[in-house]
Amino acid sequence: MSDTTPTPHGAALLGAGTARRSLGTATPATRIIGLLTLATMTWVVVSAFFITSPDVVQGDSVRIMYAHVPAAWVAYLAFVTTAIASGISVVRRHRTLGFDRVAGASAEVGVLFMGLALVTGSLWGRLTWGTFWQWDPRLTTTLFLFITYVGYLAVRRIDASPERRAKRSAVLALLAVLEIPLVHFSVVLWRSLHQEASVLNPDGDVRLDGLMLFTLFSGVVAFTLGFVWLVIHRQRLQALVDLQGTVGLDSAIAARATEAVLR
Amino acid sequence: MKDLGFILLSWSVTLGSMALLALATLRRAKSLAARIRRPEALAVVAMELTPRPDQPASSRRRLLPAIIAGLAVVVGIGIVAIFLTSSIDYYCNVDEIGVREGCDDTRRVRVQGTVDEGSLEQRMSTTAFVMSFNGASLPVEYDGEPGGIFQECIPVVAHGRVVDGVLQATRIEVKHSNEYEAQNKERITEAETSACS
Repeated sequence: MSDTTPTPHGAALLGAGTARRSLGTATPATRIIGLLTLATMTWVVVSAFFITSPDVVQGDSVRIMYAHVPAAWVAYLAFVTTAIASGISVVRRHRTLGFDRVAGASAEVGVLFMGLALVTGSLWGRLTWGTFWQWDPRLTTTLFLFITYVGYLAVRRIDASPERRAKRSAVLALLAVLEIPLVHFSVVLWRSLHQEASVLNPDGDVRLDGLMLFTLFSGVVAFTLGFVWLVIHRQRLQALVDLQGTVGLDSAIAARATEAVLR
Repeated sequence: MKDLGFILLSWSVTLGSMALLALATLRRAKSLAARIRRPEALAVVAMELTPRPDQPASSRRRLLPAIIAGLAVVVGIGIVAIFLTSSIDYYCNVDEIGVREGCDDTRRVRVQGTVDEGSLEQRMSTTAFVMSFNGASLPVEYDGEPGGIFQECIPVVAHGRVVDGVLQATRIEVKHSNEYEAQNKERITEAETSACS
């Protein structure tokens, strides 16, 4: 146990033994994803502000939609990813902690984007509906989803071994993901102030003009790329945190053992 | 550009928080990786193995996640409760007033309809208009000026009680459709002519 060599995964993270200065969580792959995110995001912002026209009825406030819809989409994607990764970590017998870390990282990023969807939606609502907030089915279920995953993240931080953390949070993640269909179809199920989906709606019609649709689509691509980048980095960060526990404990024991010998 | 403040705020909050999370992640990973590379330092700083009878300082930090999780449950229950009580204002279409169960004129309702063309009137501080849905019409009086993109020929939701056939609204919201159309000359004419068909 006195040997403090990190696990192979940890070694890769640290770039141990190589002369390369790859301290941290970046790899060539994440750098490419990062650059792609920046490029697509720049296009979305330019198009949303300067190229697309104002909407016939909403005017300029439609420009908020190009951030709002992708943020909500990524939040859904993140929570579904969390559920899938949690499912795998429950079903597999060995090496399940990696999936648990992906689940946690994805939920963290998902909470951020869900929060962004709520904030941008609220500002848009003030401009269009005339109110920041309304206890309406879509808004209420979305807030509920947001709070659920804040709770999930808190549960992940309750003191426990990584294995217990994984099991505990997997159960919660698999339950929480069931709220997503409720949120998405709330506008169809109940009479709601929030409009129904313009793209992913049951009858399959797309109710957006060409360039607006393209801008929205690029927004979804850009935000998804950003999501992938963030999740990769944050799950590697979690790996480092877990590794710190192991390495720290190993070397502390080694230090005590040396002391005992010297005494 | 109209409403530039809100639009800029939306985008800067969105992009800013994404960038902040990215930078914070990178920084934390870098410092952690550097510490793990020197495990001796870590052992001294992070891991003190001397047995300690009690740890009053760290117990609060340990409890915090459990407290947050508990709070999340309470807030969740609160949200559901508010949602359920606020939907006591039954959601009705104009043609369902007095017809559908729950849409009687004895209780507060939310009524959905489209503002009739030419019916909008501003008297002093009151806004009066007629809203229609599926052939039925309902006059509405509202104390104040509706916000948002309120205008004629737009679907709205009015909260209030029907008194003598007039909806005394306490709140008006604009219900936006899920159709988005780019604004340009040709389309504006088209929209103006077809808006109240």
